[in-house]
Amino acid sequence: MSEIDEAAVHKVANLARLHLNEAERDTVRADLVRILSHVDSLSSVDVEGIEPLNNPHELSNALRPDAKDKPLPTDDVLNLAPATHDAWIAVPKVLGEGS
Amino acid sequence: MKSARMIAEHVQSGGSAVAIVQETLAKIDADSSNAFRETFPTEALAAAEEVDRNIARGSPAGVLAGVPVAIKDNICTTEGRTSCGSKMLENYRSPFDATAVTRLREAGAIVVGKVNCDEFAMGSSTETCHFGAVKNPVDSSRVPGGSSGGSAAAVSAGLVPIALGSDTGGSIRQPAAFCGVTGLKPSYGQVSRWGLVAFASSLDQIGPFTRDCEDAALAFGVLRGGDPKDGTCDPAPPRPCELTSTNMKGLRVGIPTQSASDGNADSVTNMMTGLRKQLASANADVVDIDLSLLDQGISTYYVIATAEASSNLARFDGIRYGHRAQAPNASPDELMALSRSEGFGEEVRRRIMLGTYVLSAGYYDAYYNRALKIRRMIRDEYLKAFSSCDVLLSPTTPSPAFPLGGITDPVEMYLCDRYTVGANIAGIPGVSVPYGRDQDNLPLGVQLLAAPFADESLLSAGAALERLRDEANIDGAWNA
Repeated sequence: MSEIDEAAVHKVANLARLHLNEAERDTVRADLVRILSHVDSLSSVDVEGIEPLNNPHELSNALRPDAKDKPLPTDDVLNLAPATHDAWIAVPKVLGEGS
Repeated sequence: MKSARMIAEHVQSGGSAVAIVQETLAKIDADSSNAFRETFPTEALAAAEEVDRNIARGSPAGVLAGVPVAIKDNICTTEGRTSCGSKMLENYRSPFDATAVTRLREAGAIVVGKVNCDEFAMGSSTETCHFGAVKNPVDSSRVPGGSSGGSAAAVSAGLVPIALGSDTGGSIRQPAAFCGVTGLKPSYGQVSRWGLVAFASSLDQIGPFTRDCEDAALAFGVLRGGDPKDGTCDPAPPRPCELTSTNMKGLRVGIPTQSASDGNADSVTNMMTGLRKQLASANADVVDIDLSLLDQGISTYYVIATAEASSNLARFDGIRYGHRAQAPNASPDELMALSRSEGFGEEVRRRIMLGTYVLSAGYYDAYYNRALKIRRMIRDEYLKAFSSCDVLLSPTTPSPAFPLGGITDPVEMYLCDRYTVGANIAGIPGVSVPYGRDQDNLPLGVQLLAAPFADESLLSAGAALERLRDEANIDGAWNA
């Protein structure tokens, strides 16, 4: 199951929003092959007719009343952002020339 | 350093919490294990003064009045930083307290500082911490275990009687065993995770490190109880945890046959052989239990935990908080990828990659969905075991603490959690109790597991095990 080539590493890094240089991609590929070859033991277990278990106590969604609550103060949240502009979090240009 | 209950009794009867906090801060200053990331002298002394004032005024004192506590770096506190051992959150300051921290404060405990951990709780040695590895106070050439290595070291070195940790696959029990202290992973759903930075949400649980099971029960009684902010938390209100019988007589102790493994160190094998005899002579009812899926635990765990981590850690994008790369001309997507690659260390990147891979189209069924099915089988195997025994007993770890830098292969590192991941997969409670030392004086740990929500009986059995150990003159570790 665990054939994993350079293209697969590239694709997964892209999905995970990770920028890996060539050396890092090689290391990660070797690690994934090593770990997945261990994990492949799972394929020896007969899981016929077994339902997946997402949560140990099979909890269902907990709902709260749809009522007003005290939010965090805006300034406290803005103070955490790496870049701000007035009362906004600043990000690189999303629209405009070249987009 | 006294036990938490002795400190609380002392303060409740008029002893100075301020003096205790001053003494604690001085000891932390002199410590060289790198357990603490930072301390909060001003806030801690102010909180201690308030405890002293309230008691002098005759107000009811909390059960942890004046008890200094340390908080793992992945649990939010309004003082200092909550960095998760990561460059990504190096300067992150939480605007709120985790519920577990609030409960400790309400009981009179004094938060003296934050303790180091593996980055985002991913590791078994605290060597992936961005702020330097933590040394084992028993032997400074060895790791304290992980990921809650700073918490374990802080209690082991006698700096604080209680430290909070988090346990996703053994991150409380394994370092407790390595450092010779007691570590409790409560049942999934007993302690609110509000304010715990999520790693793998169906596995994570907060719990205390202490010197013994009685202090663990004291802390657990404060921590547990429903919280509207954590939908997975059992809604039962906070209530004290009373130890019942602390006698081994008649206790049905199940020992998994798979825990007698070739992979165990000789010292661990010898500990188990001796313990079996001691249990029999104390008239415990020892039963062999077949946990045929125990050896599938690590693979199941690493698929589920990394899948959930890849999803949980997607929030660290360098946009709203945390590390942002300096890249003026990058697009938003490039900025996120650069920020994440700079902010996350090697082990975190490795796990995000693995988790993303097992969730990706074409592999989801072969890995993730299959692991969830095996999870059910493992959970059911534990539930079945508890119909014929009260507790399951095994070594906590296959070996005592290994040297710093001693394990570099990721799979070998993951296998340190062989005996601990099952409790997280099944959502059951587990505790590690110190039980003797090896030929190099390194502590060994015994793990007890119990049925879901049988945390009280688990700690009672743990106290019985401590009694058995002490009566047999076996070293109870806990150094300082």
